[in-house]
Amino acid sequence: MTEPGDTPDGTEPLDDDERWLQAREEGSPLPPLSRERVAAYETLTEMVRSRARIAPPPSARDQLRAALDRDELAGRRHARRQWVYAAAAVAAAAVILIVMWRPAPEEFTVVRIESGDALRRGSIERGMAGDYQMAAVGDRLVVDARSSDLKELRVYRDDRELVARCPGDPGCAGGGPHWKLTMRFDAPGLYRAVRVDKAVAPATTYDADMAALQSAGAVLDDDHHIEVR
Amino acid sequence: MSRSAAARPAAKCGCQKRCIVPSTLPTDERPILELIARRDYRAAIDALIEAYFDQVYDFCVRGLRERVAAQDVTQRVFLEAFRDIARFRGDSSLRTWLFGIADHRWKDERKARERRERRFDPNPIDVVNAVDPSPDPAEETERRRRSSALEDCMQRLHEPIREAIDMHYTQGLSYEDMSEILSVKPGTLQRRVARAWHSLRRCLEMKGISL
Repeated sequence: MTEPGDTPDGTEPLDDDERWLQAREEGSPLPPLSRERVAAYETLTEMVRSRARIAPPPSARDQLRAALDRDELAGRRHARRQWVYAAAAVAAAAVILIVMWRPAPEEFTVVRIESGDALRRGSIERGMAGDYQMAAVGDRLVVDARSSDLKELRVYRDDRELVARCPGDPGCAGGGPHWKLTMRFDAPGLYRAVRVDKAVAPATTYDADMAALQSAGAVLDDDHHIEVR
Repeated sequence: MSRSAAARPAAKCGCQKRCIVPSTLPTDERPILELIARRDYRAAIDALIEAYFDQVYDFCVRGLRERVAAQDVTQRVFLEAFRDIARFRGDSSLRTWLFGIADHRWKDERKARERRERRFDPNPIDVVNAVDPSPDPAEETERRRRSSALEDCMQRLHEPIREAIDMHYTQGLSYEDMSEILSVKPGTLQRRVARAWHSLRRCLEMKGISL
């Protein structure tokens, strides 16, 4: 580093004074220097060293301590505010979670036969063995199903004919995860209620439809049989 | 406070072979460090004020040459220290740490003042008045003349040189401490101080001050 007064390459030769002074600062052995000059530097050093400390105004410390008190108080308030903000944020997050939380819909398929005053009901949970009910022409079939991924309810007759769909048919009500299909049995046969979780257009027969649904990766609940006489 | 060479410990002198002017005896900082360890930061900063307020003010006022600004900067130094003291890791002494803050703050203040294009008070630093008056009027007059000449010559030094001699000989900081504060090698600082003596002697002689 070039010092003020140095030549650009820093090679300015030192005179006797400079050599002596530099050695003194470094604590190195002192080169020769005249007694008068040594005395002059020692006097000068003492002058600099004994420069009186410039005292601050008498009130300066009190002013500083008052400023520290204010700073400390502000810091405590800030810390308290931070706790309040943190608590408010946690409460807001909890409210948001509660508001946004939707319990997974209960999943069921209820197949109900309404016959005059008599009511027969079969309720099957997915994965359980299928149900089998008896009905007569003129009875009403009610298929009530709920599932988070419910797309369609269908009723087939004799594994051939698609006789009712929900949504789409007049007897269909509901929406989203909950649909309710109502239809009247107008002919004898073996009816089958099916719950579908993929929207795949029906084909011609039950078997063809099931094959199409299964190839689309649909999950089916098709174990609800009603024999109508 | 006495600033005799005898009161300065060789351990902090910053030179290995021999110390002409060792640092001033630092305050025993262990009680303050214990307060910090106990997280009693307010008590720690109060202890720092007791130990170093005058010295930091003196350092700032010599740099700024203006008492009101120096008091303001000194206050800012200790407020900043109070806010940061929890993060003090003990890599240096507390005094070195404080002087590091002070060195930045008074230079910031001076730059701000220069930006505002405010003129320095041509004679703001009545250092001579700060010295205890001598009972002998003639002696007092001569002492004031010498002090005034010395301050004038000090101000003629390049700032890095003036700052180095002030930190080492007036504030009693070791070259190692100064190196840490100023980010300049100790050898460079020693060379600056050596040049200062040469310049000061010639300046004083030109003013008719016998040494």
